Amino acid sequence: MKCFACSIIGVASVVAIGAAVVGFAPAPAAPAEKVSAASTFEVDTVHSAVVFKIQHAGVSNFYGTFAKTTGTVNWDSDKPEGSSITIAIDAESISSGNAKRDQHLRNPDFFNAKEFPQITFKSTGMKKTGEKTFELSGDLTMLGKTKPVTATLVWTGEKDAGAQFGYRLGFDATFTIKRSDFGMTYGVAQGSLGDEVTIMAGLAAVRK
Amino acid sequence: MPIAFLLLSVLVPLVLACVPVAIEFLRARDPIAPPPRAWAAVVAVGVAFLAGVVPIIGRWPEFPPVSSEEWLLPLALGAVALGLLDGFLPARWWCALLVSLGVVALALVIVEGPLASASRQWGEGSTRLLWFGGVMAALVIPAVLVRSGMRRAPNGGSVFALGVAVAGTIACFVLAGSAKLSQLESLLGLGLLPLWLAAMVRRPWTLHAGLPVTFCLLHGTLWCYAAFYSEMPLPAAILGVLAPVSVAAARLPGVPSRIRVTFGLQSGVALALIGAAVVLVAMSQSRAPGSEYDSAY
Repeated sequence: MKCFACSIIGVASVVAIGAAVVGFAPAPAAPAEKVSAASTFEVDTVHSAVVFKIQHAGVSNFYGTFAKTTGTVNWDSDKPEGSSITIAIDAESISSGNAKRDQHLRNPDFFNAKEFPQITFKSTGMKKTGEKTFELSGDLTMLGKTKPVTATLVWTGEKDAGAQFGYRLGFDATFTIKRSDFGMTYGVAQGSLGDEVTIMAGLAAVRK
Repeated sequence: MPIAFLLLSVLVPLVLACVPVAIEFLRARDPIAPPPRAWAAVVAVGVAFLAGVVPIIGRWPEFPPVSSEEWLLPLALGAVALGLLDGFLPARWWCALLVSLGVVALALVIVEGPLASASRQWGEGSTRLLWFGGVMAALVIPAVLVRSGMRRAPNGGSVFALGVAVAGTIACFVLAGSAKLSQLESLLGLGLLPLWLAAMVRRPWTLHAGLPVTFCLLHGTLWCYAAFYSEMPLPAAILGVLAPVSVAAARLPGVPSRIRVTFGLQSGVALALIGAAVVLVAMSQSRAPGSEYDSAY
């Protein structure tokens, strides 16, 4: 399915080519402006993705997604170590490509989404490890239990993406948890599902 | 399924449930021993449940509990204590009142504890009151009615009817896609099994006082969890909670107290109630897309 953004880009391309043909191409966009001070960004739910990976039957890896992620990023480009990230994932929005499996994932065997509707992450510290990479420490709360986790964070960009997308910031975050630490043990003893789950998030956030 | 899991969640609870039943069974054979006291049934069901909870939920609960399944351990202890109280108190009206008050108090703990996060979604005003009253009734009424029925027919037939309710409940939970709840319910079945076998071998064997309170509180709590936290149709949950009430069919006017009659009547009512619940759950699940998925895998 063609996304709305692609349609807009397509229409814009046609307009630009048409304008160039008739001799008045639009003025080039202003160079990307960089925020010099700390700013607050809101996670763009539509353009952010959270994917999880888990081993199945001790053989293959299975991937699933959470469709709804919200949160806030307090980003200081001059001093990234002072930045903070708070994320909330809607447990009901889990999707594995099979409606009946999704229903099972939402019930008490796994995420118990009615009792615990949100999975949250709150950063507690950030350490620069490379030009664009950081080590992000924080507390992950799932199924009512809070455990410290450490994520690898990669800064993927920051620019003014025009009137439609606004000034935005992007990150990739990856971390691994043991789900049994949070009380999610279904299939672990039986060996049908792995205990370790890798969570990969592509986060887009728009400046408030 | 690994051997260790089967051992801890099936074999150990079953063996532990057999111990109190065997003790009282052997004591009852001694003609000069004092009459058996009503503790074996409560302890059999309670110990089977308590022994199996931790392996099934996969961890020791925190204190205070942070999730509905962690609440099961303290709730089971409370249910066993109430059952023992019921079994040891004399059959007087004030004793029945005392036990009923205890059941209401424990039901309140269940609503305000493990169901608290669900209770926030119950709405406001009269809607909230209706939900609250309904859940309280689901926990208290079966306990009172089963207690009354089992005093009339304290035999293997009553235990068998509870077993039918347990078997159907396991089927409902599996169909609704909650393996964990079905494993927890099966612990009640493991506790009932030695009681039923002993009652079949030795017909005039009346050790079941106290059992209704312990059983109904745990059975009702699991159905409440299923109704609130899994994909369980509400009418099926109501039928499932009420299925043990089939024991009270022995008290219906005109029903003779002969064991064959009460056995057939109680089992038939239990089968009808829980069978209807199974059909409702199966119908609701057959409408769900992605039916090729099997929760066992």
